[in-house]
Amino acid sequence: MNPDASHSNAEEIVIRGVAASPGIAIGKALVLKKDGIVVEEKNVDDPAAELERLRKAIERSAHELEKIYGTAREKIGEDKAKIFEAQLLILADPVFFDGVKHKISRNKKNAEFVVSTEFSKQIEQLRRSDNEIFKQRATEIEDAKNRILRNLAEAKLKSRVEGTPIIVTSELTPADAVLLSRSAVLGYVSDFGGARSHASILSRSLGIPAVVGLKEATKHVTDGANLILDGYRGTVVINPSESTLKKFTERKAWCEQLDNELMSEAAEPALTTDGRRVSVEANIELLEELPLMQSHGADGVGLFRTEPLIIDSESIPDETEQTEVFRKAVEGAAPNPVVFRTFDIGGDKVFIGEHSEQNPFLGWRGIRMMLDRPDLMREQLRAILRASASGKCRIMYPMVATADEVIRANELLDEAKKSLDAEGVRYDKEIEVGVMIEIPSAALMSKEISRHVSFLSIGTNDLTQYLLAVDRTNELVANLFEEFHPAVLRTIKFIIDSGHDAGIRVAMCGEMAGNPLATVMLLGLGLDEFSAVSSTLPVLKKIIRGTNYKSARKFARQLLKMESADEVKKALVEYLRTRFERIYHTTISEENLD
Amino acid sequence: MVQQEVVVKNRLGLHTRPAASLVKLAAKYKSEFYLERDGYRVNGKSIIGVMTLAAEEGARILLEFEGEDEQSALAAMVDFFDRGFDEP
Repeated sequence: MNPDASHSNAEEIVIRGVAASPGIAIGKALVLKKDGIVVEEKNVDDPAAELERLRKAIERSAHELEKIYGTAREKIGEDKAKIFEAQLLILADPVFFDGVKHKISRNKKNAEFVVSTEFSKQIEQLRRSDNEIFKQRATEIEDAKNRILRNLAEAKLKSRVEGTPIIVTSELTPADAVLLSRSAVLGYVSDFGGARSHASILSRSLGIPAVVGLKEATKHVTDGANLILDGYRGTVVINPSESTLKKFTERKAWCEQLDNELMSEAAEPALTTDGRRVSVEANIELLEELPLMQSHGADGVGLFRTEPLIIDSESIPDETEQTEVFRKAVEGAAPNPVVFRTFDIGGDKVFIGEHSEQNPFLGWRGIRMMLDRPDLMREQLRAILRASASGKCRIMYPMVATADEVIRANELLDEAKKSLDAEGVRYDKEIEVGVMIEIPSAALMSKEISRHVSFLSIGTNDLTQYLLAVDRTNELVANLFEEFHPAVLRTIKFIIDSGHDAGIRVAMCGEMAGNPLATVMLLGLGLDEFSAVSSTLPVLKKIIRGTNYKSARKFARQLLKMESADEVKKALVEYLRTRFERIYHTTISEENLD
Repeated sequence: MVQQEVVVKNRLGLHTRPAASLVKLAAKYKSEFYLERDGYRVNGKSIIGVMTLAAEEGARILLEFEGEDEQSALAAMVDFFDRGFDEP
């Protein structure tokens, strides 16, 4: 790819966002604007021509949606794809569009104006509802409106993406992601979204570099502008100068070389130079990610998030639906095991029905909610158990604060087992149960909790937030969120030691587990299992294979004595820079960034 | 013309998916169909209209059919509400 010099006099701008999918893309921007449609009110002489334009726009919109619906059914399943079927019904609403056509004819106004005002009335009506869920439904009607307006304007749209552009958009919706996955796209850049939004996960599984959450990308980038997207560091360079372009072309080449090298070794075991074997596993939330996990050398799925089942299908799927998904996961990961985390709803995640709290992070979430809703818990446990007949899996409870909660959850598990026995349904009778340790009280009680389970798994994001009393989504204090704080490290050490004293394994599935900076430290603290997004696993394995366990232990002991997070990070950066220089330059180094 | 009051029984209310099923069911009958909630009235053959009812769990809705097959249409629709739209 050799971008020409047509934009070379424009000023070079570097913007930073969230690294959502690794890789470097150099190419031309295609800006997809969804909300920028300006509708003008015009009088028309020939309403019949307007009606014909409207008919064609609806037809094209329906055609687009049918394609999306078809692809979605294949990729995310019939049930979740139903949302697109509803959109098709909206486009075919006879009552609504009779009204629209009537107004175009009678008032002799342009189709855009009438479509826009009539839709807006309905959207307003929905937004008046006190119910959050219904308010959100307004976006579906809004989508239909925008789709028709865009087709009326005959705007170039995603399905007609030509060449191999870098897509720049305000927010990538699941529908966009599904459609774009069928075109040749070099990368994605978006104003909104995070590393765990659906589109980011999809780009990781498709191996397409992405940077999201850039806030003002669509404002700075014009169509056809030269772009560099660095999906390792989460940066985007707009209108790069000759020298920047040269630097990144070189960087891209050696990043790809390192990637190839890492991938070629990905299947090798995570064994230290002195023979300690640890397990490196994948965090997964969509079935689509399973092939990726296998190719990246995962020893299993250390965290299968089950909440996406709810977010996407609007209602809680029943036992049969859940069993179906879990069975596919178990079969896709075979011969390696899958750890299913029971619904972690609440906090910043999903809420059930109409439910809001003053302080959701300290509220009704995770195991607390599930114990209050034993019907849901039993249903989910039965679904996991039924899937266990098809392959190795484990159960994990989130947001546990006390041993008592584990005991009660295990009682529900026993009930679920008995009910399956009574029905003659097969399942793995030896299925292992573990808990996430992410609340300080559970960390302090991890020795007692360990008596009731087969493994612990540390969730560093929540653990850090609760330990330091910092809500990292609050911009005023976000800079105080520091997972390398010695208080966090000492807590992790305590949890690992407690688990080992009880003779059980200790895993980590929080963000820290996937951070190459932390690998040597976690290894030295005695962690048995690392679980992180698939794309980072070959890096972790490379570091583990190049590390001596005894030296790592010694190094970890020094880190534990430190007084501040900065001190810890400095030591870790130095370690990575001297021992794993190329990994350091790909993922950590801020050099070469003006 | 026939009328009957029904109650929304499923947890998430008359959201997008049940609204889609409701409209598809209504389309099978020739009768005109209206739903009314607290004086707000919508055409039951319009998915957009049905969505704007924003009928959550427990909402009371008056169903009204008029036409040659109004009796069977009403019976089918009442049954659909009673089944909680086949959702939890």
